[in-house]
Amino acid sequence: MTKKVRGRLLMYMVLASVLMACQPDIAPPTEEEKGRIENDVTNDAPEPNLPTDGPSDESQNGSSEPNGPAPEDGEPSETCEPVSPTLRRLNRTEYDNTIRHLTGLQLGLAQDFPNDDYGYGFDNIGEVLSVSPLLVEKWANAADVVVESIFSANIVRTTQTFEAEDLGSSVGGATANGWNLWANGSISTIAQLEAAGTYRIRVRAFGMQAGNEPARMAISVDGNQVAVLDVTAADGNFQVYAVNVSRPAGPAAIEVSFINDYYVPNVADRNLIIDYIEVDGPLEPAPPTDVETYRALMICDPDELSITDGISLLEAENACARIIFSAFGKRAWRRPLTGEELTRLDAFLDLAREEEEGFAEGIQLGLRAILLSPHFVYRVELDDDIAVNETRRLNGYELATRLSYFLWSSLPDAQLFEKADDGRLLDPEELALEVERMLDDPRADAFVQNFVGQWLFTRGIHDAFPDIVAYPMWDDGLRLAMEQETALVVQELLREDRSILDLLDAEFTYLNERLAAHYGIDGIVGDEMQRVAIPSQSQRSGFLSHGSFLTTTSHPNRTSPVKRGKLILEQLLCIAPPPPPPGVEGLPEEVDPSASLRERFEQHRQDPNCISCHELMDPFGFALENFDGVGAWRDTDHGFDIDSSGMYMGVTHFEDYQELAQLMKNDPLVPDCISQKSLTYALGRGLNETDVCTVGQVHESFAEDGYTLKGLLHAIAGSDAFQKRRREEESP
Amino acid sequence: MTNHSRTAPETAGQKSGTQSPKAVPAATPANVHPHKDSILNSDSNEKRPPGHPSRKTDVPEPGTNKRRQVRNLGISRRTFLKGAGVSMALPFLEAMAPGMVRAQDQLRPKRFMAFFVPNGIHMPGWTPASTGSNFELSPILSPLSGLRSEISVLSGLSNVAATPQGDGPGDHARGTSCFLTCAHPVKTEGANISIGPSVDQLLAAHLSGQTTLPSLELGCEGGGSTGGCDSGYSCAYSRNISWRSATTPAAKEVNPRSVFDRLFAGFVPGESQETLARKLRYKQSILDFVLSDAQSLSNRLGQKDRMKMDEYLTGVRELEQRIELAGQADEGPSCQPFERPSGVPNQLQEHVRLMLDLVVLAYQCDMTRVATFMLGNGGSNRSYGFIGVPGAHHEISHHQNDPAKHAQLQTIGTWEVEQLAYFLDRLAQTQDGSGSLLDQSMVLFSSEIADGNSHGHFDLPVLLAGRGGGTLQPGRHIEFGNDMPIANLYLAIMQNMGMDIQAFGDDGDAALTGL
Repeated sequence: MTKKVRGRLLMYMVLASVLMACQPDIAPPTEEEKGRIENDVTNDAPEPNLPTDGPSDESQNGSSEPNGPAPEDGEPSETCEPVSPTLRRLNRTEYDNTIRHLTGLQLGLAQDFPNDDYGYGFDNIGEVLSVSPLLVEKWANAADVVVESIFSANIVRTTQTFEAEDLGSSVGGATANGWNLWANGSISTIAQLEAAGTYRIRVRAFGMQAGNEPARMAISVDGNQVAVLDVTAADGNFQVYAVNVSRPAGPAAIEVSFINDYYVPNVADRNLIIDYIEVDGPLEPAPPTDVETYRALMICDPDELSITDGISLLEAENACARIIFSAFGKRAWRRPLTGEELTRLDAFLDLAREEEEGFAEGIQLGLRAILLSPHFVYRVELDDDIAVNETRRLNGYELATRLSYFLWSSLPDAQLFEKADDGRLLDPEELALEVERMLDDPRADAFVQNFVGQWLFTRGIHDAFPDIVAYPMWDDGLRLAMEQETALVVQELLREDRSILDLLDAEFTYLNERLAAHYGIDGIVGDEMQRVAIPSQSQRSGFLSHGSFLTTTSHPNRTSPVKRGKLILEQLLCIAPPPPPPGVEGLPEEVDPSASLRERFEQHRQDPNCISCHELMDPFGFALENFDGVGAWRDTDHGFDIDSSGMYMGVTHFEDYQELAQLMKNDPLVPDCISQKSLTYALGRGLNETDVCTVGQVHESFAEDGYTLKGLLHAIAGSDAFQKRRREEESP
Repeated sequence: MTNHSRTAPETAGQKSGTQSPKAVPAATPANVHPHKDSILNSDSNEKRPPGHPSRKTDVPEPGTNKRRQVRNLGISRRTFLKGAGVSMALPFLEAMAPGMVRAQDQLRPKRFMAFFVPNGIHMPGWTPASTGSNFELSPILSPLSGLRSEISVLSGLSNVAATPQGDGPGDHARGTSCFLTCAHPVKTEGANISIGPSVDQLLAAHLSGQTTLPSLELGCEGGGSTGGCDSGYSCAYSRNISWRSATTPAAKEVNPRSVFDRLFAGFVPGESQETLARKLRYKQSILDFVLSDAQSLSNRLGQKDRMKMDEYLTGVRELEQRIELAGQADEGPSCQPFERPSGVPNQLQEHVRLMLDLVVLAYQCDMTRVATFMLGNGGSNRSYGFIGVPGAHHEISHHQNDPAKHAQLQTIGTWEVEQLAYFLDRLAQTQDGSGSLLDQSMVLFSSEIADGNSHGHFDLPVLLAGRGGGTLQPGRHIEFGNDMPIANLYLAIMQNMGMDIQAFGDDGDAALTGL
């Protein structure tokens, strides 16, 4: 192993001993906790043979060099043992993206699913993504809605018009332009509705008015009154009266009645004159892309096939169903369907026939089943061809699926399927080409949004609720611009193949007028986010000055140096400060209220319970005190001057956050931490000691590539942990 | 043109497409009227003489776009439940002799609700000064003044399972996950989550098959958009009080529209029996297909993965059960859904009340008898600026004995109890049998910890409301010492709901008596 890695290890050991000393009065850790601490230690330190039992060993580690056998030099060809992640279901983001890329329909159905739980900082961790009955219910409904949406796209909105004088009536007679209901009675008709949906019933009418109220009209559908309307129009001036009704497909009996006849012979006569009844719908719009979706799905027409192949319609329907289910099923389940599975899907065609419904209905049933099946909602990888504890390489489809959910949060595209079909994807060179292509695809934005958004907590901006009194300038425009700023900067670093570490001191950023004004930067006009070169003397540079980070880590009405420090420590350096013991969170009681926030913290840190941890954490936060709770610059805090200097890791002095950023940029802990975070996200599980080897390999490769994100993602995609599985133990 | 007899009774305004032209005698909107075929509609209160103008449901086109909203849909329970694919037969107790009713009420369904508020309660402002039936309401409990005879304050209950027991910090996650489970959770970020089934889910399993939904899990705070919840505990622990099993939380709904749809979706006015039956057969065949997929898959999976597949199988079987119930649809009491909510209201109080309204509605329609409600997630950092308490709730709850923070916590606590009072009022005003829904309910109100600063799990703030169908005698402040397991309260609740259970959680061994 390299000197650099050894140095990191040593540094970590020192830190670990500091951390262990943080809480002298806390009970010894439980078995689970021990596991966690060991994992943290081993994750960070690519040494294969750290002692693994008992907290005393860890304090030993802190005070001396590990004395195990000397580690072998890491060679790229070294094989790392894979671990199998727990069966992963699609999370909400993945579900919506998958449906979108599968059907072309952007339905956002998962917005209505229960929230995904988080583990190890991410929402794609198999062990934590549980399935409640509520979720299964939502999946079932969503499958129905998807299929309905595809097929309703083929339904065209129509208007059926029925002239009143042509209709059956219980009373009255024809008159100029209409039918005169001269006593209580009705006219009626039957409209054929092509699809379930909302229909608008319009009746053009006027009243021959008399008495002290206008003529009144009732509209009924299938015997149910849906509206009673005052027809105030008079004297031949027809007006249209309308009501919306929600109806299933099929015939609908529509009846329009006159219900308040009034008649005093030779003095007054109230009648209702009707011109026509119109039924318009379904009103639910079918966007043009939906029609394409329908065509892309219904790739076989039984009528045509029966003619071209000279087979019976029944045979043609069965043949078409095979073709349609095979094509859709393969994409949905991310692998070809077996013959047995296709046969079981065929049964839906028979079922629809039994119910005297057609081919289209049978197809819809099959599609609903495909979308509710565990093969769709889970990413299934099976090990039944190998023995327990044996490892195997993923097949092409499994690898394509892991890749596409890693980089796109969605299903593989046609090209990935092709390369899975012929196994080319398993060739490392082809794989590298695919990773490159995938990162150039707009779908890779999902990686930035989901991985970076969770790693750097920028997604948390949606949960931040700055207090309106403390920050009257805050609004959703600012919120959105801040989230985009960080994402756009990372996207540029990815696209331009630059070191991800440049995020800490990038000489550019992305702003719109609103955010630029908030940052005190002039000359930016418009709502569009645009690339802005940062002037050399600017107060802003790098991620530490991004509003997204600064706001997410603040309290609603003030900054939180602790939260900011904690995020930097945990997310950028992968050092987890143990949480404070109960009762010592927040500002202590015996502080001098006339002191500045920093001075009050310093007093608090005099407490021996607190000092060791806070010495590590707080300097990061204090360095950023020039940014208020929503990331605006300030020179003073409640009248106190801001002192942004501090000690990095208790060792190196820095004057302000920009110097701090430089120290971090040169600290190998940062790229190592990025490797760990991205591996956790890629593998969908917490890392453990088995992964030390993988983390080491990935990090080497990342370093050799100048710490570019692309280099990192290539390294992960090529790693054994990503490409292989091990069969787990059977249940006892 | 001389015949002007007006015989047809006019119906109240009906929303487009709703059924049933029958009018019924006046009834208050909130009441259930379990008579066969009865249709309730608030408008029927306005008794109109024949020929009096009826309501306009739409305006002419062209003209103003402002459509008149129809407030209530009068639909018989059977009708919409069939639509939703579910319905259930219930005894028609009111048809029996009046003298029987009282006794029969005890056989009526009982309901359970757990109302969770985050970050503890400012205990000096909560605990009544005196015990017994003449206790005086404390400042935080003051919103319950009209309901004093319907609530009991239970002091001195503890939840030992939530204490660290060597696991260090994380009391919010622990207290929340232990809230209804009383089982010490395994501290983990993700791997091997383990706690225990919660009271509500045990009740739901016990009552399974009797109502459309075994239980409702609601809240007003979803997840966050990032990880990191509480001190090394997976967010699952601090965001769920309902646990189906040791490993699977029962996810909660935060969007009132989704809850409403869950209760009432699928109702297509005027749909024929045949169409409905066909739809159910289709649904069943789809479930058969995916069940078969899941079962054959399960046989090929390792142990961990098989547990995941079990969660799926449970969910599918529950859907199957609903379809089965729908097949046996029969007449039931009618009730009235209100308008479909449009989404999550911007104002918290409106959001809370809409969720609580949905619970009342679900009880009223007997679509479920078990519900949980999380006003916020454990350790919530919500700001209460709208009642004059800006700043993060969790941070304020670490009050460090600052009197200003005490006052703020009292303000928040009082507001929380106001929301409880709203819910209890709604239950009290809703008729059920010869009494009210509140008479038939047991409503638990508490938090994951007692005091926010010390994170204590002893002498928790606990309130139990309702008469539990005659099993509770509320109206008292009862003191249980300081180490009576709250699990014993849960045992009493479960026994009152008809369960044969003698032990629960880590320390529940004898049901509390004298409630």
